[in-house]
Amino acid sequence: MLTNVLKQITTKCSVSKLYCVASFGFSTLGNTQPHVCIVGSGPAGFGVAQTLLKNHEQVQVDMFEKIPVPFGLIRYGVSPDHQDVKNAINGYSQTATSERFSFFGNVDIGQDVSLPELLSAYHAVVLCYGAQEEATFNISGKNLKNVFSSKQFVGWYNGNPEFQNLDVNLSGKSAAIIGVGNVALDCARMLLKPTEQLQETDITSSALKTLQKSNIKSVYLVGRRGPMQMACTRKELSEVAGLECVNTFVEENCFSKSVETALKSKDLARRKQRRLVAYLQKVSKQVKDDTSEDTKKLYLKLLRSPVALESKNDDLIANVKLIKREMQGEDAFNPTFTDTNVVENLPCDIVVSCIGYQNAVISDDIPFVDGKIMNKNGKVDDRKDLFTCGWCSHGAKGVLADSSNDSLVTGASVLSNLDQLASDKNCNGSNDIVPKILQRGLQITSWKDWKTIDSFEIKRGQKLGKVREKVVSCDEMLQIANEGKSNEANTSEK
Amino acid sequence: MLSMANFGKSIVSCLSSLESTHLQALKLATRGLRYNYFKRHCPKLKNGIVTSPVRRFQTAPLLHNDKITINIVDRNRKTHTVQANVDDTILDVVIDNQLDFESYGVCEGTVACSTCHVIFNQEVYDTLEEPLMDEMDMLDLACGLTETSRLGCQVHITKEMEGMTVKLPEEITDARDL
Repeated sequence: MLTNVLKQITTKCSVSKLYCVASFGFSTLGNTQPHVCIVGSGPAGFGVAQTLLKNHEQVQVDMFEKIPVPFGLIRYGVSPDHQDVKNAINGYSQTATSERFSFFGNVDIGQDVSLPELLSAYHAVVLCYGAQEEATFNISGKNLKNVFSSKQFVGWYNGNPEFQNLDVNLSGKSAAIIGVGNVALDCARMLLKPTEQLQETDITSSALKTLQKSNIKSVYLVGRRGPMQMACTRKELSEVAGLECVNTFVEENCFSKSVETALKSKDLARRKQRRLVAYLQKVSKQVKDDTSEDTKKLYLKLLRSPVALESKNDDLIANVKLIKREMQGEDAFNPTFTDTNVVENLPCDIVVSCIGYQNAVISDDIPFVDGKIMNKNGKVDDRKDLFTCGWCSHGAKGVLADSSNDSLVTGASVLSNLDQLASDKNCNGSNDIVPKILQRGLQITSWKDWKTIDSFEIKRGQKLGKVREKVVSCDEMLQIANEGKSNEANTSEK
Repeated sequence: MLSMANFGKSIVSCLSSLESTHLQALKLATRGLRYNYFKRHCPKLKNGIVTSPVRRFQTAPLLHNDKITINIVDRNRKTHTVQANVDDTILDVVIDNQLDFESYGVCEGTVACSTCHVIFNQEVYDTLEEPLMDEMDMLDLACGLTETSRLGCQVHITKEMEGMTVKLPEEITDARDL
């Protein structure tokens, strides 16, 4: 009996010898279990949760999310035909099964609960709520009909409850997309891709129907700068330009002498850009086959600044007024740009502006400068118990790997402060804060509720031959969660 | 019982006689399954204590006879000396040895991220086959990219790699700073 107990202890000790350096071998010496709150349930939030749970034997991690369901941009940003990126949720779902992890959905931090309230209930709060606001697009005509921000358009086809009532009109022939980043390319691809290739994905059925009736044949991507400043990746560009039915056009004069020189550079840090521009050059030179009726066109209009959105009648978008720009300097990676006085008109029937995102200010207690939270290695400046990770700290740039890596850094910062924070203060995390939330008449969704909604979506999708059919209204999500709870109660009563 | 054992044996001999390309295809097809299986069973957390992951079924020893020893240096500069099956990928080796590096192989080997990024020494790197376009695209975005970087899910173990050392990148500073 004793040998068994000893065996168990030594096994646990050797297993709990963590894979990080000895300084991460944490356990709380005092009596207080550390409670950490994570605001946001996307890749950054789950990355931090994984790091904390793995490297601290007692920490309780509570994750708060604004909408009833988790995963943030993985669910509502990553496009429907990028299901492989969404594999990340498998690892996150595994983390969520930990007994020391709890999910609280449908709680808007800043609105339903204030940040000071969270900070008093938890030993540490980690902000991972992303970049929810659009970059300001100050252009006349931005309120014309059929002009959308990327947040609206992407949210529309991805089932974001906020944007299901969008009146997206695709009966025209041309679409203008402002911006040349990955989001701009996602939008272009949704408009140009044969809809048969979207049928089995988790695009909403209503967006799919609209796309199936679309007349859009040409998509124009408008960028203010030159080829070396394009923010997209070669992979994203090739996913559109490589479509069989798409011909890609770029003006020859974009590939100036300085660009040709830059393409020959061997600098590893510039490799991504070089590969992108070399690919662009290649596709623009390809012989175009536009004999088929189904042929669509992708135009990259670089060195163009949009100055006005104009309509002909009914307040419906009809034209984007552009100013041509010139690029000067020998270094194509750091040129100067000047506006000319040459005006160009771009007739179009729909505009989507994909010019980036920025942080929402959820509390005056957070030090924001230039749209970024001031922090060092994830620990917010001048605060001992506030941390941040992902897009909300760095700004809205970066892919899955960047958030994952970021979460390692922020996680390490939290861990190195956690035991001190736990011994400085007595607090009870969700036991303190949840009663307050419920008193305000709010309904919280748990991880189990998410699994109920998840099963519902998958079942509904199966009937339509799709990966899932998303629930597109928060009210419906809450209703499904409640039905799940009462079904379970009825079953256990029997 | 005996007939089950015989059935098992016949599966093993059948699998062993498969050509390596077919084995590769089988491994590739089952990678997601095996990865998910591993993740589902590890780590179990009870009462705040991490217990050992339990793997009751392992395809690796059934399919391969050739093993080599390699060294994998993690992000904290700790070296893990592990057995690796010839033809497995580096990601397979990490999973099969239950190394459980944080945020490693997040997309489960589908070339949709760059978290399985590893760095080879020049000698071994020069012997590797050229990366395909997909891998190059993801490597472009990898943090701490070097001239001898590859994605762990795309590089297959060969006998000649006996004793080699691969490193996970140390830097966490990201490609956005470049």
